[in-house]
Amino acid sequence: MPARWRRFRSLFGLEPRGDVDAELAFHLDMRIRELVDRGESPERARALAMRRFGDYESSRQACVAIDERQRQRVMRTQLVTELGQDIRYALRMLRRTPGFTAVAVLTLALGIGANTAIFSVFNQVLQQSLPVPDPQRLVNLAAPGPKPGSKRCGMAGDCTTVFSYPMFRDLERLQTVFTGIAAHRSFDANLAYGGETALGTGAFVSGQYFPVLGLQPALGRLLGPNDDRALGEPHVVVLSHGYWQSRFGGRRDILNDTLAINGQPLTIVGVAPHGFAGTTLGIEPQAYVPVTMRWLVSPDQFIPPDRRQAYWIYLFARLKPGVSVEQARTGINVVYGGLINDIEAPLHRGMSERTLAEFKAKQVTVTPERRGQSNVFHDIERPLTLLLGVTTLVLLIACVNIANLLLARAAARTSEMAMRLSIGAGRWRLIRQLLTESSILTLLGGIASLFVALWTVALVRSLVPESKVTLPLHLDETALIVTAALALGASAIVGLFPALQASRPDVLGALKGLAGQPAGGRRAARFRASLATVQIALSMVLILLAGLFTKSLANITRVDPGVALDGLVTFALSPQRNGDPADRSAALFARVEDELAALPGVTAVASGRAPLLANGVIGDSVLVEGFDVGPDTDNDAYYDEVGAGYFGVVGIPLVAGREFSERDAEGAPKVVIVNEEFARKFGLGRDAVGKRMSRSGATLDMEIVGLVRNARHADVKEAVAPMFFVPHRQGLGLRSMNFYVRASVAPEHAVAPIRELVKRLDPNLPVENLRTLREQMRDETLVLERFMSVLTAAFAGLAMLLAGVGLYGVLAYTVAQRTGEIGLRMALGATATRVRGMVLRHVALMVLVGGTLGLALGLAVARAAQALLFELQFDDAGVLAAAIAVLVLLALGSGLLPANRAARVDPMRALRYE
Amino acid sequence: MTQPVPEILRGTFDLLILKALSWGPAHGYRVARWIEQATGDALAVGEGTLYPALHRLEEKGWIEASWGTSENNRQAKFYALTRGGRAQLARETANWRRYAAAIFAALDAPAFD
Repeated sequence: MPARWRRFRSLFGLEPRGDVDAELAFHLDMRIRELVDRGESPERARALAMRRFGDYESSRQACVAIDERQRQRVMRTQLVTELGQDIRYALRMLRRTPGFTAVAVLTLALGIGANTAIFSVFNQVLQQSLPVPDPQRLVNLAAPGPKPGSKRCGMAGDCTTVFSYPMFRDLERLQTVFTGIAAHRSFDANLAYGGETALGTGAFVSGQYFPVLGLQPALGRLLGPNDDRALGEPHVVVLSHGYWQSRFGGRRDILNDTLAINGQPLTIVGVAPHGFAGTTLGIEPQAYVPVTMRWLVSPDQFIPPDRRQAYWIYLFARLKPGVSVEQARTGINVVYGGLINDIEAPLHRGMSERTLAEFKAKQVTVTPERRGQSNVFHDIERPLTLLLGVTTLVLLIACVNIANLLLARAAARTSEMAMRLSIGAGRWRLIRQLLTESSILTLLGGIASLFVALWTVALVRSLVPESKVTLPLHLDETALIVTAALALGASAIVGLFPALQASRPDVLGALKGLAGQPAGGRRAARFRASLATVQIALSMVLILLAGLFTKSLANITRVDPGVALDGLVTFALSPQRNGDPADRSAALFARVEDELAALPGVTAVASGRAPLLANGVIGDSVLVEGFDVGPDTDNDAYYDEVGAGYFGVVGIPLVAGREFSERDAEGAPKVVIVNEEFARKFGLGRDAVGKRMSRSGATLDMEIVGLVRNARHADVKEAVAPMFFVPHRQGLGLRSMNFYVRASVAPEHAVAPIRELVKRLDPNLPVENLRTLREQMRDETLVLERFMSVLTAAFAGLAMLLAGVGLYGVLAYTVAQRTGEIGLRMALGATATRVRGMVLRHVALMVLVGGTLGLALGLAVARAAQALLFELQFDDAGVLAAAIAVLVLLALGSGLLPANRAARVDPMRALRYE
Repeated sequence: MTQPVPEILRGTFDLLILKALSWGPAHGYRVARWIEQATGDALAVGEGTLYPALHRLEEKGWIEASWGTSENNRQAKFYALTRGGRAQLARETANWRRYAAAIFAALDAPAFD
């Protein structure tokens, strides 16, 4: 084959046209000559010849077309052949230097892989629209401003975004700017089907929920306006596609079956479409229940359906065609203003003038949002953006590394290049050759990077406890495409410069130096040194960030939560969700507590309503003896309902008075225990015991019998809140109970017996959140902190590794290149120490410049991350010093080996070589 | 693009060209002259169609071209049969012989019984 195309090429040259013309002209000339020889006049001979020839132009064009086609095919073949040669050659070169190849591929794999993973996460968590038609026409509604009354805020948004149920219905009825308003609220659901009960999540949705989204069912029907006509009906449920698949195996005959949710039998009427996982990122409801069923399925005595001061439901809407966001805002606030002023304001008689004015001025905010409603966006936008920046830096460092490696290699191959140029290889061919090499490296790196990416995503997933949020965390196609683009871009960047440089060698000089040192030139050496300096700078940024997040996490873990964390196992039970009446579940709780205490290895057991260190406490306003309450006085406190001996078991010391005992039962005098912060806020001081208090609305009906030390019940990161505790048997009725088991055996050995015990007492009762208290704290309140500190530390470690390799490479190469010079110096009397110092001075200069630049850049980034740091300034001196120390160690570590090698140069041999 | 080939040559043109080259390399004019003599001037009109045919045969790999010097010392493009071209010639010749024999046999056949 090659022989053939070479023939073609020499034949046609570059211009088939001229070729054809010459050939045809020859024919005509020959014919004319023949005719003239036969006696024709030249003019007539020409005319005859032409006539005989026929259509000259069309013959000519046919020939040109054929030759053109052929030439193109030949060129294609040639290109493919040359590419094949390039690839074979590149593979041979890469095989010949396995160390270089391994480092380069690994470097790229780490850089690209980390980027792909974090970009995947970023993309899926922050960029994904709801899988509904026209998601950009959806708007979220909120109503910031005073909200006196009960608030229940969840994952779909903070307390400025919740509405009362009556307000939702009024807005829905009166508004004219939306196709509809959708209301929703998630809830904990015990899902019972076929004699098995599992804990899951449900969503109460209004009749407009699915119509506003514009979804079609995968099976049966979705909920519609006819499903929320009256409170307490209809008993129907729509399953999520995921739940339908996992629990029912996608069976189509489940329609009209009964699924009991929290004890309420509901008829399955349909399945939501595939890919739809609700409208709140972080929560994936398994079942959608009409909102009118809320008071049966998830009773809450503080939020009766007609109470305008009970805020708990989330709203979003779809703009009517042709209505702008601005028009919608105006339109909905005309309605809202009327409702607030005419109906709600008169309900707040105790309010001060100022607060009332604020209340009356409240407005509904209308925010376009195609991603649904979730706190996750707000919580994680900044951390993820930061992480994306961090991984970009890692990729940059990786690219610089590769460029440096290729440069050094190209310099080492200058004589080879010069040789090839001098025997006639084209410059473009040489560049292409080098680009092929770097592309192959990138390709290998790209493939390897997929594994790194999978591993990184797994790491990310391990840092996000599923019990807390369900996030879509896997590699996605966009990320794969981006990886490919990154790989190609990286290849172009890392390949082009060395290729250009290598293909322009000083041929003569290089050939002369064939036997000696390669002609890299001072300029190239300086360029490589500045690349290494850039790496140092970028590493500095990452080290600083990692240091800050690690110290921040350490600060958090150092906080004394005021609870004896170790050796406590906790779990929760919610029998009432299964429809157990209150007295039966109270009996069950008592029984569980007794039997737990009898388990081998268990030393103490206590129970409480709110899960400790898991953001579970609820607020309420109180009246306290001797504390005056004006219209605007802040008399809010938080409360929990706890069992006998609770404080002793969880390790909160009693300061004065007594603990609750078995005698503090229903019917006995109402008692309460407060913490020191409560005593301070309400002016009780040390004499709290014996004073009286009550929830606001009641009249000082409880006596304070105990004062306990402050503890961080909700979240170690938050300040201690004023707390009061009531015995749970004098409480408001417990829907779920958290148990605390102190064991003398290792916690993991206590877990299985607990599960068995509960199963024996009630096989239909799921055991919720069974874990150690330390795990509970970590999974519920330290997710983001751990996420940031582990990932930044991992990426900083990666960056240091890469930068170390890069720095080492540059130094080793420089030393190798300057062997002759060093030998000469040593022959002239320089000591080994001096030579070592020479190399280390080089390192010091790079560290000084790179470190300073990195520090400046790092501080700028850290300042932006300030909000994510716990009790830590972004320019914390300790962290700065540590980061600098780490960088210096890194530089020394990678500089020492080459420095020693330089010091060991044998002057005689070096000079002889020269 | 290709102009109509004289009727008589349809389907046999390529074969004639290959045959013309079977005694050694030749330029287009010689090929034309040979066909002229051998066929009783079938190419009297539309001699030019020879060239696209030559180029096509070259594209197919049956003949190869090279520039050389003609008998009167001019630069001319010479065509030569390749190994494949020779095989093609043998194949096509055999085909034609079989075909012609069949036709002759038919023409000589007796009438219906």
